[in-house]
Amino acid sequence: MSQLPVLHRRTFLRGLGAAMALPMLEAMWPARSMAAAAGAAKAPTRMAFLFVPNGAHMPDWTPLANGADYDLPYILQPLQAYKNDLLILTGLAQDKGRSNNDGGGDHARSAGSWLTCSQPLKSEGSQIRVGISADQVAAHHIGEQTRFGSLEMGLEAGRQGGKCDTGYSCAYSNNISWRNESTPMTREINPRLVFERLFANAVPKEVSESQKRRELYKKSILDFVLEDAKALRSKVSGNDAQKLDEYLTSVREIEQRVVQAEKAVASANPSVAQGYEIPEGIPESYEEHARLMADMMVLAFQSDTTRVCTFMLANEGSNRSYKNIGIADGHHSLSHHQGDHAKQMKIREINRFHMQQFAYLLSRLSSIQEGDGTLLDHSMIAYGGGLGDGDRHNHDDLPILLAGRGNGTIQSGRHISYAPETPMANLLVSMIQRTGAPVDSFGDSTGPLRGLEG
Amino acid sequence: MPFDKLKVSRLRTLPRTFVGGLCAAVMAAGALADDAPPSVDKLIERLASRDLATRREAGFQLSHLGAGAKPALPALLKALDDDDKQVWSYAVAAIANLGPDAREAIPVLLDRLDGRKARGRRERDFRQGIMRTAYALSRIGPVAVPPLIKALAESDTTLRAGAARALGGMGPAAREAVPALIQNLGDSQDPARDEAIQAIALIGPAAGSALVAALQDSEARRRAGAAGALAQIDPPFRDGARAIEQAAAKEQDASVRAALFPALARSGVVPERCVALILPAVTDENDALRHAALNALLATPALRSAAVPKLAVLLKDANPGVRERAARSLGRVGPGAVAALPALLDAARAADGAPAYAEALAEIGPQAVPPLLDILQKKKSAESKWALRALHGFGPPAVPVLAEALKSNSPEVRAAAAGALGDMGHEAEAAATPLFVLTKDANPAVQAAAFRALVAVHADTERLKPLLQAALASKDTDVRKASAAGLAALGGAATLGVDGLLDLLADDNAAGRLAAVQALGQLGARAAPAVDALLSHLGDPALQSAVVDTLGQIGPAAAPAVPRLLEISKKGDQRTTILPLLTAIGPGAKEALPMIYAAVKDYNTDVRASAATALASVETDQAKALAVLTPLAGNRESGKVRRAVAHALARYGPAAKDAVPGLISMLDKETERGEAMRALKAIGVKDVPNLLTMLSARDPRVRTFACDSLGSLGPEAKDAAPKLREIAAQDSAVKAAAQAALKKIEPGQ
Repeated sequence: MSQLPVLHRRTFLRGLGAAMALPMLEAMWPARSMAAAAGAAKAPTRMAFLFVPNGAHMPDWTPLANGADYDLPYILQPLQAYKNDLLILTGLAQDKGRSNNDGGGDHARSAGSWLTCSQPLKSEGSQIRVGISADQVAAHHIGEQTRFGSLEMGLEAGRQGGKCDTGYSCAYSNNISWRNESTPMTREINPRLVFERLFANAVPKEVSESQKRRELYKKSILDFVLEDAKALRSKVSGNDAQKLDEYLTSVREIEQRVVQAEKAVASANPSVAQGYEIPEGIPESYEEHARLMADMMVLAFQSDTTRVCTFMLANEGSNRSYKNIGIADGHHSLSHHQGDHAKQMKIREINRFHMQQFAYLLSRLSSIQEGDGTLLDHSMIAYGGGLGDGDRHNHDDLPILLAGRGNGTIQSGRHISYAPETPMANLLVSMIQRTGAPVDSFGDSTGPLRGLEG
Repeated sequence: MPFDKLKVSRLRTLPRTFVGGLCAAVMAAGALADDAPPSVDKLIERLASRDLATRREAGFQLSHLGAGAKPALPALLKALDDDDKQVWSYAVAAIANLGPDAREAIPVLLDRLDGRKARGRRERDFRQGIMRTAYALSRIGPVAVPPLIKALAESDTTLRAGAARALGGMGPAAREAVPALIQNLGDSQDPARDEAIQAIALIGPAAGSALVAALQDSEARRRAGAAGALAQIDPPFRDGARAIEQAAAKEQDASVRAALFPALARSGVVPERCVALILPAVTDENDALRHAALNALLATPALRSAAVPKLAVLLKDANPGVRERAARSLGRVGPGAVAALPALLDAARAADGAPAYAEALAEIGPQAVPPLLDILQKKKSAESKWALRALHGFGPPAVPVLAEALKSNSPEVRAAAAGALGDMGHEAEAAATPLFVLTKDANPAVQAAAFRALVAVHADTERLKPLLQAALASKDTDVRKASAAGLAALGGAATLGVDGLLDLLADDNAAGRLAAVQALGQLGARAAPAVDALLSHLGDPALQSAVVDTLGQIGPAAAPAVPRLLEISKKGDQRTTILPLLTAIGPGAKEALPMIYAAVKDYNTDVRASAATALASVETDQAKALAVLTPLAGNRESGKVRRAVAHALARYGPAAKDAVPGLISMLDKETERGEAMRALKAIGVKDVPNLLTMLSARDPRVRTFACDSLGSLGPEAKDAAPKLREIAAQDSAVKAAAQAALKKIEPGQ
């Protein structure tokens, strides 16, 4: 019957060592009438978490008014174009990030508890215990529908063992995604490795051969899937052919940027920038690194390779400097501002700079049409951290944003101010539920977060 | 079973359909473990242990057992009194996870909601207590409804609020409580009323009819509460649309109207009718009403679309206040209000581009840029001024349009576009290439604007610096000023020298003045001749922080600034800014000593810490300073102050020996150990009893230091030899240091 989709959603373009998933094409949708009857014409809901460390300058983060009638504060102004796609959620608290009689270590606890909402066990060694994270709960439920259950990315390398913060293992500071209570999900910070993960097939020998040939002949991964792409192009509508071309072009552009980064770093010797040593294959520019990783998150979502992603824009307690925006001091050092106005102003510039990276991600997600809306419409992207003010080390009034409309389940464009001590876990329950996972509690939640739907 | 023996990695093999998230996952992990978990009886016993870690672990395990923890309920209720927050938290979670099986806990939990028995807990713990206790009650379910209804009528506000919260947590299962909750919609205490509103909303459409009836209540507070609940019911109570519409049409009370608007927006009443009822309030003088009305109009795309043409009409209202509010509302609609752009520009023109209009244009976004550039091109000076102002408010989305405008034939447009891009800072970096082109522009005003913008957007410094240096020789004053400011901002202070920077400090461009101040700081003590000029800018809020920083970098030569700094410190509390500056000035700031001595006793920790550092730098009478600083190293001070004091004491060396016991007490705290060690090394610890204490410290660096210090005392430290021998035999971390010390103490052996 003509109402059946022409293409299966899990169609791949294949070639030596390559398996390239495709964006949502018209040919993958059931015909309109049938879809309407079945209520099935719905894009999948994607979920991502972007983490920023060291708190924020909250006076320049928190809007003065609630609802849709509010001015974007200084730090959030880069999001002006996406104001209607955004919820600013203030007043949320992470009680499990607090000392609760465990002494210092707020940085480690804030990252460790951010998505687990569990009290990290104070330990530097093998006795690591926190809890499964919200992204992994979702991945358990919906991960089998995609090639990868989840994708974990970061911009800073970090130890997984040893001590990072007052008696806490580095595993707590350097991870937000936890497969279970003692195992963090390993983050990938190298764009090349993420790229290969997204587009390589499951045959290691072929993958290695493909990589060698690409390097030797300066070829693109697209060269290996060209035949499949041509064949597919001849089968689909004009709209789909154009969409396919755009998608393959964006894959190529990203691949070129990955190669560019590898060349740039290889030619810089010693490769030290911003006070941080740059490992091979990682762009020297933080901004380019962040955007490249964001682009790959978009590709992963667009091709439905995964629906769940976590992305640490820096590790908790990071002391990276941001000389590209004129800030030579370390971020963590600045965050202990002791009320010094000049330091606070630098902190807000760093906060705003991170926000610009977030705005870039939103611009990419909103530029991709998918069925009845954009990729951003079909996503829930939480952004923020586990500390309010970096100097006070408070775990309430957290800086949290939620972008996207969660497939029509979120009425965005508002600032919602919650009662003090409202658990962050409630937001996570609401997000997990929107992925379709039948979860009614998580961590220290006391129910879903009210008001997201309007 | 200890948690580390759980085979949690086997979670990966769990079926993907499990319900209940973490609880179920961890229970399953326990079930999959090779070792048998401790029995519930064992956990009950451990929950009463004296050992904190044991109690915590037992609480943790019980909180993951779900219904299996039922036998532990009495012990869990007792654990609600545990002093440790983690034990308490696990206990209340375990009770919640028992669900209906915890019905015996109802009286105890209700008792915990009673604010009269809060026993002086800190605010946040109190709130956590109410929230989690209410959650546990809600998980117990319908059996708890009757006592909770009774609690809704109690005299304690917290109890009423907590009971409502618990009922709301049950959702439709608590529908029996609707009449009592509606009664509390008129509660005079906000927390109880707010929770009642939330609870009814969570009970859902089953409460709809009663809420609609309450819209007719004689008490405005109850009517507003009912409207608030109707606005939150999910799914919306569509059967009440007509009644909500009627209520919105006839309601006179502003607070009730404000609450009705969002209910109306979700009621299903057609958008045009909603807009007709809400719009008059959008231009009302009552801030709260206006805000509520606008929020309601922005609630859905359909309402926003219906509102735009009506708001555009209001832009021609005779009342300027109404026109401004309409403009502001259109701005809130954002890019969706583009259809009203011509009307908005007309209104802006009539109002000489008052801020409300400029802000609205910026919120509408890049599509509003070309008409503003057209205005600039027409060179009507009055209009150009406000168009220029408006352009400066656009954010990064306007970068492409403004970059294009850099190629305009009109120099006014080019300069304005460059200025607007510069205002965006590094976010407009993408426009650097066309801005570089303008550094060769025939028009000096454009050139100057381009230089300023290039510095602001963080353009390629290597390319920019030579251009700025060349432009210092320009015949045009503005170009010279812009290039000097640029060089100053890019670290070229030496090129300009103090005189050049002092000229720049008189610039009429704010960015130029700021660059001059910061560049003077780069010169350090060489900028001393600029102190007076810098002081004259201390009153400028935009420069104050930079001036203070620069004076600090000038150091002792900034001493003439002290009287003025003392004046500033009296206006508003700026002592945490001023005190570090006094530290940098040192003894030359002695005039500030009374203020510093007072600040050391201040209630504010940050002030005390900064004052301690300043005292050590400014006070030349060592004995006086030490008399104040030494007691501060003791246990009663906050860590932040102790760290500052330890840092300060290090400068006195052996003279600060009386502070040694206090410094030793800091060694146990990881956050303080570093500073304490540095101070102890500088002071040099010479007395054996103190060093013996340090030999027992947890940190091997402290033990090593103690060994070294004992060694340096030689035979004088013979009393420490037994302990050192013990360490040399058993403590692998400091074995070598202990042996070396022993050799010096007992050279013959």
